[in-house]
Amino acid sequence: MTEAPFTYDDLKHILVERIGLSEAEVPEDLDITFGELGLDSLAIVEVQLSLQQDYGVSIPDEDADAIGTLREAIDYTNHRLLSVEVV
Amino acid sequence: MMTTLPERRRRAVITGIGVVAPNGIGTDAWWSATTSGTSGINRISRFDPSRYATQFAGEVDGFDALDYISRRLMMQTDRWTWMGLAAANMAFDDAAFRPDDYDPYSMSVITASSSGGNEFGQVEIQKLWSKGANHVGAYQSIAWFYAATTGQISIQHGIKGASGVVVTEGAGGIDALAHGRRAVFRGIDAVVSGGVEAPIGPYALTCQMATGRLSSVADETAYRPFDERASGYVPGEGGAILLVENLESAIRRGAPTIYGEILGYGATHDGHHPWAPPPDASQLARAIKLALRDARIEPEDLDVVFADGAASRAWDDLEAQALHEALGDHAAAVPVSVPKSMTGRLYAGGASLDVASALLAMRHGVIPPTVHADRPIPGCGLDIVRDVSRSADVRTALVLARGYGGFNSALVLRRISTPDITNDAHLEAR
Repeated sequence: MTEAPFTYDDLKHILVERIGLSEAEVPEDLDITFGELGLDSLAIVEVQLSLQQDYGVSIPDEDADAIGTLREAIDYTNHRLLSVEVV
Repeated sequence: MMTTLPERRRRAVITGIGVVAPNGIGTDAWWSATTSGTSGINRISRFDPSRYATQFAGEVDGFDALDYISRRLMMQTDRWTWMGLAAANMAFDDAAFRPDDYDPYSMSVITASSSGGNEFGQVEIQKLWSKGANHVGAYQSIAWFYAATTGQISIQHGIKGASGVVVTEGAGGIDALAHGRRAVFRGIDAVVSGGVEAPIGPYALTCQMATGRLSSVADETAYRPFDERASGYVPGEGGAILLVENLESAIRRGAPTIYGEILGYGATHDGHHPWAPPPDASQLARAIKLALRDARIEPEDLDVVFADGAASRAWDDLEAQALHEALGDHAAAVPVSVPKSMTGRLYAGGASLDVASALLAMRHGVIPPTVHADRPIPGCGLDIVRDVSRSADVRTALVLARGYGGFNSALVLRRISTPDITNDAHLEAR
């Protein structure tokens, strides 16, 4: 089984460095939504851009709209990263 | 007998002052420095200025945005907005005004900006040309533009009345306050107004140098308004955010301090040339006359003038001419000062800081000095307050400001004394 290339710590890094959350504000609970973390639509675009800039994963808006929780964001990013590798 | 006042009889007063200036953060620190002639102008330290013609500026040292706003908000905004939010918080504290206690639609935010979020914009533009369009951050869309500070103040404090931003370069601090006064006349009870600017960065400085009005003298005395050695001005950052209130509402809520009233305003435009000095001072003089007429006072009523003080021979001569033309014999008698010789020109932040100086001059009976201007230009015929501050009973003040491009603005402020406040009759005085 391939190790997940995009981890919780990677997402946490984005939330701290690009959105300005403190380390303590990023919960261990992966089922919390970005909205519950207080991210507005612009902040979510910033996360999207960060994934594109740092990991080369461009996320179509319709996919982004379907991502609600931190877990969904991590799974989606890994899915995209791994399928790119396969192709 | 209580009556409902016609709107034109509402009076706009200033009840809160917030200052972020190169020679002091917070009103007390800044006023103490200003009245003691302490300059905040130094060699630029936020980047290496050695390749720039202008190497001295008024930087706000020791300003930490996290003292005033969250890290999350800091990521979304420019240094200029950090200073605006900090100064707005200070103004609210000073006025003991809690926006949460009032109808959101009874309050407005009207600030001035002349260059927006310079530093934020520079960082994003660098990403654009070095890495590509996909590397520009999402917050560029809200951080750089002129209305960002007004918008963030309104969001942070839940202020929903008609708001705006005025872009008239150095005249902006006055024009914003005049718009604030107009909002009060139209029924708004409290307006967060004034201006700040953060223009000390490589990109922003390069834009300013293109005007040819900056001093290239590389020492802390480079800015010498009305002095025969004047070589242009020094830029600076910071400014003042003021709380403008309807006098009646301020009294009703028990505002701790009513610094003074915005009594008159005049604004004109040279309409001559985008950057060359006009052939005469008639438009600046007309702005002064309009402000006096609006205030219903005579030149002799003025106790002090806070001048624009561009510190170039042509512009200083024009300002002296305008004062003589508009004030007549009183031009030679009234004390004139340019405290911005201690901060540099703060663009949109400069005039509102001068308004703060005027209000504190009234309150403390002291006119802050113009520093480094001990060799007056011959024949200018003005009583410049030089080197050290001067004690004076200041009841009425005139603040002048000019903006690159031909803007001229004048504001008359009047002290409000305790008898005015305790006597209900004042509400119908005008």
